[in-house]
Amino acid sequence: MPTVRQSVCAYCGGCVSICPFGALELAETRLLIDEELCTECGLCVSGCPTGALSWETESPATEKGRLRCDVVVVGAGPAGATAARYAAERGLEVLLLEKRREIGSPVRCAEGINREKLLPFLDPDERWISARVSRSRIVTSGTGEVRSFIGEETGYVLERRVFDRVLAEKAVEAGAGVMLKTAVKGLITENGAVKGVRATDGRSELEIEARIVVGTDGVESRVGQWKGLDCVLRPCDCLACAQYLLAGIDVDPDCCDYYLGPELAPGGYAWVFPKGHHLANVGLGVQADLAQRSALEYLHRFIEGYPRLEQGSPVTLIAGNVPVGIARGAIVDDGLILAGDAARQADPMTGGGIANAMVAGRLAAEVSAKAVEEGDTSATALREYERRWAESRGRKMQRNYRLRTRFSAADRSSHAFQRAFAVSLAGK
Amino acid sequence: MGEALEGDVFSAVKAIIVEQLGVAADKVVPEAHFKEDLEADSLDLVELIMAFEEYFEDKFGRTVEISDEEAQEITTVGQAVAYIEKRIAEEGLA
Repeated sequence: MPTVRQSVCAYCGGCVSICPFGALELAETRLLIDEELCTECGLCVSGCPTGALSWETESPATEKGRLRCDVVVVGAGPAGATAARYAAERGLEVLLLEKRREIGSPVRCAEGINREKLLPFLDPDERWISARVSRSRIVTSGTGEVRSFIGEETGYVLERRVFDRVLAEKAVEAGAGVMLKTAVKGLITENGAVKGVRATDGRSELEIEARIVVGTDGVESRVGQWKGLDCVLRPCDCLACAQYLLAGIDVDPDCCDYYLGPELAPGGYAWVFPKGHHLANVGLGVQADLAQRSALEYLHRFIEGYPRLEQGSPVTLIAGNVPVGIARGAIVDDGLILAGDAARQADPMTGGGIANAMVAGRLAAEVSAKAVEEGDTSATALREYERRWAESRGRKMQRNYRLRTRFSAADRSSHAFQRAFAVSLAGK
Repeated sequence: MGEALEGDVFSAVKAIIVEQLGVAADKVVPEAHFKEDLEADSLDLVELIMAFEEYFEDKFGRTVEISDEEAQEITTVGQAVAYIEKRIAEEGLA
């Protein structure tokens, strides 16, 4: 749960209005966070103008530990676990840190992935496949226009809670160490170069020295920001998302539905992804600068508009931000590589981030291995990661960003946008 | 007029392709296939079609829509140029 430094809090109330769950309350003299309501979505932390809200624990550390490795990876999502796995496979000593108690939860994600983008990394496994999808449907609200495309097992809806753990298991199998409930509080630097991280498990402090730090700590990477990299999303490059796992609804178990419409989800879209019979991941993302209300309110309106959804009961609720821009500056520095959402590597057209995160994680591992081997972990050496990312995905990312920004929010329910959206979902 | 305009359309199409696909200008020849020779994927083609539509808007101030069916038929640079020239003639813009 975020903590409040009351001495810094300006009592502006921004966090109170930003919180989709009403977990924050401006009491007479201090800002209070309701532990029961807080889902740790982090919107308040990234929205706080004074930095009073943070992930840091207030209790002072009692002991100090020290560790050393080749690569420390901060954040055990798909980018981090993949980076850890391939770096360990190449013989590096790797530590993968996760601030939460368990990997893969909560998952802010629609959980869809194209089959062919998954296969290079994992063989499909029933444990983490909620649904096999062979059809997609794009519904435009207002006009009621429906465009479908059908393929042979085009993709999967994942059970990310299990999927992320399996990725972490792969990292462990390859020889990486995993540390849970280990929150990174800052970087260790020497002459401006990153040399490790300072972390805490809530009781004791830990210094982990590493030749390379891989920041896979998600949207608006704090690791990147500590080193002065530009990681703050402009509202126009950010989809605010809210999602329910809805049980007891009518859902096509092999079809992913997307809903477009400037009123329904300005600048973004709503999704209904099957997770088996009568169960679906139902969510919605709105472009932060176009939204008039919170993502959760848009989601409620969307669900109310469809009787087949309204009859369902929510099992979980999650909110968070998805980057739909592209990096505006460096994603490496001396001793530092960013990957995944931290480096804005989600697809600007769809917001899909898992496949790109894994590609970037593997690239980060390969470049790290070479840099450690050659004894040069400077930004100049690590730029090879930026170059290889640009070669493999960079042009398509720029193209998709161009396509995204070509359409105003009102035009994103047009036939032309539907066409582009459908083609980008097909991912070919 | 015909000759000069043909040249115009080809150089405009070429400029669009070079910019969007990031390919070398000398690879953009009439017989080049978008997918095989210029490594365009389906979404690149969608973007190119939109850019061709915008070309009419910018050059003639005319909204011209290229349907999905027509777009499917355009697989080479030469076909794109021929299609645009045909539409210019049809729309009475020549």
